Amino acid sequence: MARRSANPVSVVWVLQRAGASGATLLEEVLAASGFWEDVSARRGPVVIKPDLDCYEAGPHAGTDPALVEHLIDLLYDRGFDDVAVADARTENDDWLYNRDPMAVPELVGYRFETPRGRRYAIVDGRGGAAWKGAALRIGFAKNRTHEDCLFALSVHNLAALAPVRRSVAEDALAVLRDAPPHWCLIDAVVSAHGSAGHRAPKPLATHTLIACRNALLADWAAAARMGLDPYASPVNSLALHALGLPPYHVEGDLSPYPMWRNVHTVMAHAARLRNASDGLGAMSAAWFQTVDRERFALRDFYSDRLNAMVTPLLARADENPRAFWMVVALNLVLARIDGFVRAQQTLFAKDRLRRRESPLLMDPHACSPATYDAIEGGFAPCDALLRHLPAARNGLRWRHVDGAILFGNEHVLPLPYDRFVQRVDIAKAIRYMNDYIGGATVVVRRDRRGRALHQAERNLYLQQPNWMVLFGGEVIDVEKIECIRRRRGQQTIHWRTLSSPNGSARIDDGGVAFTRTAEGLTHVRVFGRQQFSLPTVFRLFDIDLAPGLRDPIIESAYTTYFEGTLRNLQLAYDGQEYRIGRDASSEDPQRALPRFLATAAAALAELLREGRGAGGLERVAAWITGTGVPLAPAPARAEPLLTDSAGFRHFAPPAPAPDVRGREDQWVAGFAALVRDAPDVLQGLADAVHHDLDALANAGARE
Amino acid sequence: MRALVTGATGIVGAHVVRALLEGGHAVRVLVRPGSDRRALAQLDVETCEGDVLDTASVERAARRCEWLFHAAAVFAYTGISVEAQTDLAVRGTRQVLQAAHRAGMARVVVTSSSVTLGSTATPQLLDEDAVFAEPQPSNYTLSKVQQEAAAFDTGRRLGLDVVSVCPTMVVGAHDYRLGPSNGNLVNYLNDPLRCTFPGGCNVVAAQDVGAAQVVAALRGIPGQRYVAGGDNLRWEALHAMVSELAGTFGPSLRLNHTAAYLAAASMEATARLAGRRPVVTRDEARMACRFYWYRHARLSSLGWQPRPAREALAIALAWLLHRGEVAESVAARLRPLPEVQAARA
Repeated sequence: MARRSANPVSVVWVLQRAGASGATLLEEVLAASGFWEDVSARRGPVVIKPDLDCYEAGPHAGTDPALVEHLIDLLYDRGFDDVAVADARTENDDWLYNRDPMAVPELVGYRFETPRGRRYAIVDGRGGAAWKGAALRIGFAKNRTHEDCLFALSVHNLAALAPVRRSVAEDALAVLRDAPPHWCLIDAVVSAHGSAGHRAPKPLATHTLIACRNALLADWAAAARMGLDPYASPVNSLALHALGLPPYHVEGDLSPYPMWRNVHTVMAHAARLRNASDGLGAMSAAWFQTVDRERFALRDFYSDRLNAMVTPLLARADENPRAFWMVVALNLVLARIDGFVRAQQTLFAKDRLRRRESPLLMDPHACSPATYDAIEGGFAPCDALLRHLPAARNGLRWRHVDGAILFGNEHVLPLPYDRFVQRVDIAKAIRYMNDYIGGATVVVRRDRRGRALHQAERNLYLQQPNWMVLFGGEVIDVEKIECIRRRRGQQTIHWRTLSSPNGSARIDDGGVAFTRTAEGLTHVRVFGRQQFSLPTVFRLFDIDLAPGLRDPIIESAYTTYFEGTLRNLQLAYDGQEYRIGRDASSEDPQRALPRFLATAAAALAELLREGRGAGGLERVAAWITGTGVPLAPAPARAEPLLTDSAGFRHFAPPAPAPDVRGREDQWVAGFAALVRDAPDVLQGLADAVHHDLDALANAGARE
Repeated sequence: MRALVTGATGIVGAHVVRALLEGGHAVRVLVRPGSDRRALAQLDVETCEGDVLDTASVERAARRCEWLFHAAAVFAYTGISVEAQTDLAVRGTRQVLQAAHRAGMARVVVTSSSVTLGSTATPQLLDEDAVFAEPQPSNYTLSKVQQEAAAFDTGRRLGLDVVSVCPTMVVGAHDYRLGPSNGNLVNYLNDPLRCTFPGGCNVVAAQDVGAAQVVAALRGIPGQRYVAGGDNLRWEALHAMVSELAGTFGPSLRLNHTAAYLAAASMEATARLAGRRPVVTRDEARMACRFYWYRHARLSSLGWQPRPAREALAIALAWLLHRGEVAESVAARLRPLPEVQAARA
């Protein structure tokens, strides 16, 4: 390998030498990449972030502790005597015992002292304080495949250091922006590959070490060596699109590793669907992860049993097509169940949905003040058209313009304008919108009274119309810039959408205006231009060919949206809670499934009750039991006729012993009674499940 | 004083009779023809046959009595229709009170139930001022709520002094029909898994409930209700105490709401198909998962004090074991503590 190039572009060093030990490779790549020259000026604490998302010991399970300790020795040799290893893990692993920050490193081979007697600390890396405060930050990732991201390398490894945990992709981006590593190393001496990714990692000697000052570039090279698109991981893709790659140069070989097996795209897709769910996705990690039970025992008995059933399939996924497809099918079934749960919550129980805390991904300061100021004027042509459109009976004005829906609606709230604008902040107008489920706001510019003038927002709304969730519709996720105007007698906010992180919207521009009426009341006007992406099912046919179907759907959706928004404004004015959903931390999302089943039982009970009212259940019971007629109630218990002074009870002579027909009748009568009571039994069961879940939630809250 | 007692063959009524006799009062009992009178055996009481739903028979029995203790009710969660249970509770109470009015009685003590105060999902103490807000009341609970309302309403209308005593879970002897309270102890001991529940209850000895009624008659304020309750215990603690007293293991398994409900539902279903009475009902399962915990400060202020739950349970167990209510195969393996054997004596 050549010595370090003097070229100013970023260089990624890919050092591979079969037969060389990991320590030798590490020494060579550090020397060749100019690592030591680069860090020589840095003095102070050093923090190394290895990949500790490991569930067993072994050189392939995570970053090899021997390599990390060798790096510590090398740092000591060059005068760095305050070195710590940060333990923070990306995967949620609270379903296991022994996952405390100090326990995991020790159980996978870290000894707090190098073979040459240099002591090092293991620090809790969660929150990123130790990482951010370090004079030298080194990411030391493992070269490995990942169940749904396809690969998990430097960027993935950094996500665990985010100050606030949201999604892996957002966390990683936050760390890269806030405290990027000074150097990134990727341990590919013994890599982990295979169709099941990190769920069932398989060792493969790849004799490689990668070093680069840029995490994205290091991953770019490592992904290339896996034979993968470097953008295939959503985690890396988000960061690459947000930050971009620097001009770069590759020193070393980028050809794919021989014998390397990536996660099959079908497997990754199925796992991604499963992991996307709040409930089962979080819960099922315990069932799909191969674990060294000697080191990390599962906390929950049932999860342990399920884990013992599923993980052998994962381990054989590469060799056995049946096992592979069974795992895929299992993923899809779990995802589908969770899809039903979410659909049920979106449609019938919005307060059970979790609110989202999604950070702004764009840079709000990248737009000039003039760009913000131009938003209002940019909407003027649409506004002019809207004002000329006739209003439907419900007040809605709408028209298609370039495939998007231009709409506007207005209403006078019987609330005094002056008090209304004191209580209802126009800058929060989007948060008052119907079905707003979360997001983030960054104020860019304020007026002299500290009120927002220019701001950027990320908004998440439920699927519109809500029933789109049944067809796989995504939550609408858009990033906007906004301009707020406060004039005498009128306040307005206008927004323009710059991007949609999940591709759910192409256009979502619009605004809200609060205007004082002649009577001093509040006139509310909501207007916009929207074009949302349709679920795949809806792309199979062109709904524009059936305007008789399309138009009522549109009008109903926008009327519901407007009415919901007005209701929220009224609630905000009254100082009441107007947001849907619950706080992310308010309840364990893993209990979504039993909640759903309980709700389903209650719904079925209601359905059956209707049938019972019409006598339908009796007819069904009669049909099932073959009697053809509704059935008599169960016989009453025999009552004593007399009790004598000695306490003996005297009964009427018993009826003759029932013949076969008699016993059948009794059974049939009992069955009919059961059918008749089925709705109450189901309702009771649903209530019991809810009680248990409430009790668990209360217990959790107390803890 | 001469007192008329209805429902005297039941566990509460039988102990009211005993308390009255101990206080030196003369007692007349109204019993249905052919009813099981073992609870009154060898007691110095005047017996009148009749029915609380038969006005004439109640009026006959009420003549020359100063006090009326109305304890007649059907304490059951199954085997009786809601209409019949409510009718007996409401119409029976109204008729009894009217008869008491005609007879010029000074005071009526109605045996209500602590369930009329409601219950809570979490451990909280309720008292007589609690507002009934039970989410899923059983038929029995509803009948008692309506009975109490009818009693106070009729009393007000007739200008009759009515006080209501609300016993909690009454355990003890002379329960020849084996009501749900003593039945719970029997079911627990007969259960091979020795299951317990997440809720809690308040245990009171039947003797203390009898004494409470007399105290309420002597010193109670008209229109008031009085909780006759003892110690508040979680089911787990109560069952552990029962196990200890009976000299056996348990509780072994704590059911949650869902498991308790499913178990009760399947027992009900099986019993229905077989045409017999279920051992446990869904109503009871629901109740076992809530807290029926109460204060008895109001009755204490009148000078009444209940005995500890342990003593109440010992007395009940002594009687239940002696009666052979516990399955023979189970009873053979029990080693009751001396305090249980002493209670039997």
